[in-house]
Amino acid sequence: MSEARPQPVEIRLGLGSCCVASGSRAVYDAVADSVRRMNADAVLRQAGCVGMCHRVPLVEIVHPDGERFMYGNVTPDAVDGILTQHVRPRGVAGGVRHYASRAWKMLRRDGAWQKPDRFAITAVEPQASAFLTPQQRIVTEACGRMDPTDAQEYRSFGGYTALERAVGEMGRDEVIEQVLASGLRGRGGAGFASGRKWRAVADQPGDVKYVICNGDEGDPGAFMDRMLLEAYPHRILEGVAIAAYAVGAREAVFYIRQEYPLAVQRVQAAIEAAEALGILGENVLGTGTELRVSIKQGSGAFVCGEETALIASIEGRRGMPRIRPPFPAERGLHERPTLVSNVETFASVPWILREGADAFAAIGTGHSKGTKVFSLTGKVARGGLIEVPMGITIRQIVEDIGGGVKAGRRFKAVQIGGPSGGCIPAELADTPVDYEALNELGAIMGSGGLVVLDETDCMVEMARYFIQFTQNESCGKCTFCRIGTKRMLEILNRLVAGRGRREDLDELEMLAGHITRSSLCGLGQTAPNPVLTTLKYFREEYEAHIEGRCPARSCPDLIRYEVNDRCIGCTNCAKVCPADAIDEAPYMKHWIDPAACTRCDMCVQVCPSEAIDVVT
Amino acid sequence: MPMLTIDGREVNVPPGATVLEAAEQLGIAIPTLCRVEGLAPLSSCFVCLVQIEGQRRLRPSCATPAEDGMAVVTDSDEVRDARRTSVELLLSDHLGECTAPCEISCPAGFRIPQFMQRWMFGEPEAAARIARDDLVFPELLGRLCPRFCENMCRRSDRDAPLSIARMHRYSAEREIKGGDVPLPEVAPATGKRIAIVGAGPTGLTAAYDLLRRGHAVTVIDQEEQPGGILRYSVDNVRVPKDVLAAEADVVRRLGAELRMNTRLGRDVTLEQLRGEFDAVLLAIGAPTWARLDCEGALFAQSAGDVMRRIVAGEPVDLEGHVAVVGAGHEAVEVARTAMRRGASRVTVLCPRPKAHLPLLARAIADAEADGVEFKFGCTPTSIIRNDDGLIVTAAHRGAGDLKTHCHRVIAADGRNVELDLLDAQGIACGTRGIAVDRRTLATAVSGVFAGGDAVSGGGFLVRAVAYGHAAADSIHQFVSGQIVTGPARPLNVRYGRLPAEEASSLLARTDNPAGRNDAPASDPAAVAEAKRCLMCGCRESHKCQLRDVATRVDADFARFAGQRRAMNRDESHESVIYESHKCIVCGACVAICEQSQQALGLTYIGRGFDVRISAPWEGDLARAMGDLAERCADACPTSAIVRRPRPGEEA
Repeated sequence: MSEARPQPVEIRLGLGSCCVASGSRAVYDAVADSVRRMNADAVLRQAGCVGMCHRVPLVEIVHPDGERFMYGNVTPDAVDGILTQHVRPRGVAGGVRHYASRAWKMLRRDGAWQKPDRFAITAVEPQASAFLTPQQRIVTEACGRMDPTDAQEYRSFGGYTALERAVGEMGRDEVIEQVLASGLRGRGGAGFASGRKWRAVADQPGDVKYVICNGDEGDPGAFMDRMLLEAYPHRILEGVAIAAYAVGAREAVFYIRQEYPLAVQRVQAAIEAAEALGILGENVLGTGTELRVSIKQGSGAFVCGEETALIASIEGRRGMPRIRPPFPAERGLHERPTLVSNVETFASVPWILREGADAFAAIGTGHSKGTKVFSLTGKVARGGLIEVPMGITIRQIVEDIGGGVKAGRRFKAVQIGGPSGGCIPAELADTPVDYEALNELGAIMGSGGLVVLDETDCMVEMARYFIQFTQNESCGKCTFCRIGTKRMLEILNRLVAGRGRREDLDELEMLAGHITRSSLCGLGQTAPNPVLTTLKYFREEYEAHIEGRCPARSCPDLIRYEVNDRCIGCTNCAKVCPADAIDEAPYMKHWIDPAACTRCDMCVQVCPSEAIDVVT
Repeated sequence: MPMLTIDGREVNVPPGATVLEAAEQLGIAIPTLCRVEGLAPLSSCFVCLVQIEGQRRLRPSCATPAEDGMAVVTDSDEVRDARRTSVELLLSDHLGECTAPCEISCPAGFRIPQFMQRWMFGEPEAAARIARDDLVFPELLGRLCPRFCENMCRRSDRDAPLSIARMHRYSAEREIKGGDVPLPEVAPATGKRIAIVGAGPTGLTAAYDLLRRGHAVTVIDQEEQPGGILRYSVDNVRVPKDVLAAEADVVRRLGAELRMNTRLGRDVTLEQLRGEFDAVLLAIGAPTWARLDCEGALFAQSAGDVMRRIVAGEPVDLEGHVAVVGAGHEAVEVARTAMRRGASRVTVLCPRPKAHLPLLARAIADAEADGVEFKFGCTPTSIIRNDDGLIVTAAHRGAGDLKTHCHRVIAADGRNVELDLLDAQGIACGTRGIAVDRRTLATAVSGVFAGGDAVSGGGFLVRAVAYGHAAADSIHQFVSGQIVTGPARPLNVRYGRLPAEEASSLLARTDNPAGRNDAPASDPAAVAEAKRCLMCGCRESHKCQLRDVATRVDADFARFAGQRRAMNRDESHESVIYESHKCIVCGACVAICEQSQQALGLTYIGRGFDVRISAPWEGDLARAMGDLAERCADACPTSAIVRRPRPGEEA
């Protein structure tokens, strides 16, 4: 045998839909082009999400010796420079092509050479390590190192071994026992003990049962499910298959919203790959068990995340919840026992079976075990998709992982759990991520949206925004949700417009109480949470709005823009003002016409001398 | 069999029963709106909420299975509050008008749109029945009524109000001309006996209502003829005595015993009546005219004496200039009578300013047309006789003294109840008359009720009729052993201020003829006038579940003001009308269509507050509902879908 050819350099790039939206596709094409031109000994692979949304497009280069280099916020122009650091053109033709192209590009760019170092993220870089170190990867295992669509690669990372063990060695009961022992709870919001749900479905008589993977993620600002479906389709499929085996279902359905085409495509590809490999289908891993998996695409109704509405939608009816009991575990899809769980819940299962329930239960707090994936967004330095052990405090997430809020601003609160969740003020940020602890504060774990707010965020406006969202998304079935949230929204609209009345706050609380206590489904029951928590922790802001002030200086109807004496008369503000509210008077102190001003804030952003104040 | 407790009472129910059914088994009434016989629970309206011990949330009882050991509470403050709030939220997005403005304004509650509807369909007998039952004196009221209804008529905004009073007058004239006025249906005899003291309009109205309900009625009156003030104190021109006799005679023909020439306190005591009867109504009127409280009051004649003599046909000298002192509609009547009976000039000295007498505006205008002069804000301070006649000096508001030279003065300022008579009977009096509970008209003495002028000290005939109806309701409740609550007072949802477009759509609702006929005198003329009616109000409000529940939970329809659905009336279906502005999205019609699978079906459109029920793809109702339309209409809890009105069918 000839001497083994040296291993090629591996170049990895995330191509999830959010990465693509940030320009990763262009970078990917540039890398592919560059590799081809240089005839370089390198393989370009797409990788799952790394979660560092604040640094995408992110290029990772792994040398044959295992050394890894990361480059963040890469632009297509910088690709050549980065690659030359790691790979050499092969052959004369490659070299010529490479250098000629580089020279041409430099000419075209007037020689502005972007040093590759500018983009480098080293492993010891404090920011990257701060972002990555507190995280713990269970659901997002092998993050960034695995091609999402490659079943073989998934197997090489230990994929499908849990399913093999389950169907090969373990009885159904044993699987359920493991899930029970792990302490896994539903990651979709309410946090019902997964093992108990599995048991309930397994105990139902009849031989037609279903498993539904709920991927109908609809919270504004949340993208955990999409990322998991796009990056770990096999992982979730394995979890679903294990669940189907355990409860005795021969059919499973992925409910994924149509707005997630890449997720649909990747899950579909994974299903086909798994069927081809004999992992799914008539004869799961040669055990004689049958499992058919299909995808149902939802049409983007938030309420379809509610399990009974979701089932109605799969059955072809309008997505409207029905009263429980009977729970889907007794009578679900087509009136048969049905297990409905969230994407992340299923994704946790293979790890539990592989590493053991004890290992999972060792992570977290008293009743909240394992890890939780959050989409960390808002006013933090480093936003992205993170997976943290249960029990980590909110402050650790915001300050350590997220890098805190912008310098000079004050961390004010986090909105956790989306429109069903609540606002937790900075004073209570030492609260651990734990189902019960969050409930106690009036928030919920939710499916994992975590929005960080600073002093420029108006809490009344935030509550208004979320109520508007739930009001728009209410299916309209029950009175309290359909009309009650509308009446709340009208009050909140009044408040942010400065037309609030003293009795409005009592009215809000009264309506919120009724909606919470008397709505049929989770959407209605939790809809008032953003209002209730902000009223609880930020009541003085509501009162300020009644008096006509917005302390966060954000509600357009309650603020004015005024020029102070630092004005140097540069006319920058006048030039950008879209409403012509500022006269273009050079070297004179500018004046903003309050009647014409639309409070767009553009003048503040261009002012070189901080001469524009926002007053309330 | 699951056993549970509801409000502390145990009940066994068949497996599969709901909490609502369990409650019904115990006779506990839980309000519902979205429940429809034969359909699976829709659980959308949330008015059937109950509390289940150990659960934080309230549950809709219609869809909650009754479980063994459950402890249910149906009447806690929390439950009541939640139900009321739920109904009030529904009402805030329910654009409707339970009762037409004309009907609301009628003290006697005359069902004007229904009356007009019957005429429209060419059913004068059915129309006359409604007028007779509601007004008892439809002919006389047609002549005397101040017509609040016409002031409120929405048609005024288009051309002119309907001629309502003339319509029921014509309707009744037609009936009287045809011989005996047809009698209403009477309920089976109850064996209860009621004494009514006073055969005036209040007493006769109460008698009419009570007789129809199967009670035995005895009317006692000190005069020879029934009719009270109508018989003895109103000019024959205004109240032809043959018409009064015909209308009053209905009560006798229904079986009332009339004991005339019998005076309470002289011939019979209240104590005796209470012994003999199950209930007593004091409708004794206010027969004594007040004397003027000024110097020279003895020169003034009492309006009562003057009118009595005129009615009796005795000669009364009313020549020259007559001054009538008084501020009520009686004073105006007296003045017009004087004008008619030979006075050369009549001046009304009215102690109150004109602005305080809005209800009299029409009567004053009529009197002025007859030539009567009015001096408002004049309180007589003295009457002096001189050679020419009398000089009335009156304190005139803001203008010093006003002297009126005249030949006679008639005092017509207020009538009094015979207080001494009542004191002797142990009945307490207030400032105007007998003291009663305002809702039930009950006096302090059990089983004794009072109404009409005896309570108010004098008023319009239509109010006397209203008192009669109210007293009959209370007395019926009393003798039937029910809790006495007085007349039902159902919630009336109103439109409030409508945007111009919606307001004009109401006015353009039907292609009805223009131009008011002030005095329809033939059937075709009456039909034409009735066709001008815009049919305001809700034709089915009397069987509206939403209204019923809202009344039961004491809802305030205006509690949650805010955006509401737009007015939209769809008449494309041949057998029903769909008014989506009334819809409360209970989903019953959708479920009915879905269950039967016979038609395309109705569907929910949109999300959130804007959810509407409509034919799919903006299609037409005929395709959507097909033959199921009438079932949908019958199931609709708010009359958003109603059967089309048809000739021969009463609403």
